[in-house]
Amino acid sequence: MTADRDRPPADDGWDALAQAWQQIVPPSLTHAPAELRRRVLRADLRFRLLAALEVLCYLAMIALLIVYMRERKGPAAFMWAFMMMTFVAWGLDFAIRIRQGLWQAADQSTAAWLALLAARCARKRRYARTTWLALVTMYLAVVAYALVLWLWLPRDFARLAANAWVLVGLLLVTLGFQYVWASCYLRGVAAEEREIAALRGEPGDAG
Amino acid sequence: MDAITAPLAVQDRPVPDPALERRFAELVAAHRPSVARVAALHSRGAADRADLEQEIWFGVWRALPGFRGECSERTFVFRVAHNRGISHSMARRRDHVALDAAGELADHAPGPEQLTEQGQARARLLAAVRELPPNLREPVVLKLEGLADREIAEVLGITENNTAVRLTRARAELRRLMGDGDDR
Repeated sequence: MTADRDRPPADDGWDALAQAWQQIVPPSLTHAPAELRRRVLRADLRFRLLAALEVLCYLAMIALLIVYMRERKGPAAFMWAFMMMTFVAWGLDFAIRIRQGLWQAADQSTAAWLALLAARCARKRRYARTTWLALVTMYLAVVAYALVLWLWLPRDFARLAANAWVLVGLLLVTLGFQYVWASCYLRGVAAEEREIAALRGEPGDAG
Repeated sequence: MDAITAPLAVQDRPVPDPALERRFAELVAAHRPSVARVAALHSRGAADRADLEQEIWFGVWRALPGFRGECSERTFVFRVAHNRGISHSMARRRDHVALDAAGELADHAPGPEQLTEQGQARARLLAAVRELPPNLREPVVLKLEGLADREIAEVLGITENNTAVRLTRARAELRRLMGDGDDR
């Protein structure tokens, strides 16, 4: 078997190398052990507070939407609330899942950790695709909103139509921003995927 | 009870679980130099290494309540250290911070004229480890930290056979990078 043939002899010089390696003493550490532990506990508290704050923000947005829906009636208000609710649900889902690696303690094996990182990369790719979808949906919603206004309040639609060039300009600008952002974002994801592949080694290497 | 093993309750605030805290302090005391070396390989500069070290110990702290002793404590700490190190270096590259793995350790070594023979060997070893491809560097660092092949396999989540194959390749690569007969 190849693996058996490649198995190193008992030492193969590792002991001497290990001895030399362990003599490397990192430069005096910045924090004393007690200070390090205090920092870790502070980081833990900060981590929990930030997570709670984020959940609170989403809850506040949902509460505002409920209040909005209680005060406003009609198809336009419903459409606006539906869009916002979809956005909040999507944002919350992404915020929870993308943090999986932080919330899940990193005490799994490196192979499991790399699988988690790869899954996060796949999620980021889906996220980038979803932003395009969200943008198109938003444009369609604006068009639908304009149609609703036209059906219910023809005068408002006339005002909207007069400013159509502003909407077209906004559309082009947002499309441009989205294109630049998505390109940079996906380039970063591709770089991460390359690193994960390098850490995993050759396909035949996987244990 | 010294500054390392004293629970924080003694020092500055009440602690919810003194036993957990004491266990954490013992891990810090036992594995800090190893973690510092792993952190140095995945970071750039003293500040970055201090950040990563803190991140690693934060990971250990968060994982500790769930640790049921399925593997040794050393394996547990190295798993967290390697995984956090990988994520840290990936994030640094994403932020376009050039990584100079082990550069910081090398920077703190004496200058060339002051290096003893042993010091030169250590510097060459550091440089050689830095040059290894990532999939070989990880098992090598663990091997150099004194882990057995079985423990390395547990940390990396690969088979012992695969660990042996990688170590053999890494050893050959190290020989090539350091030159024959540089096993010190």
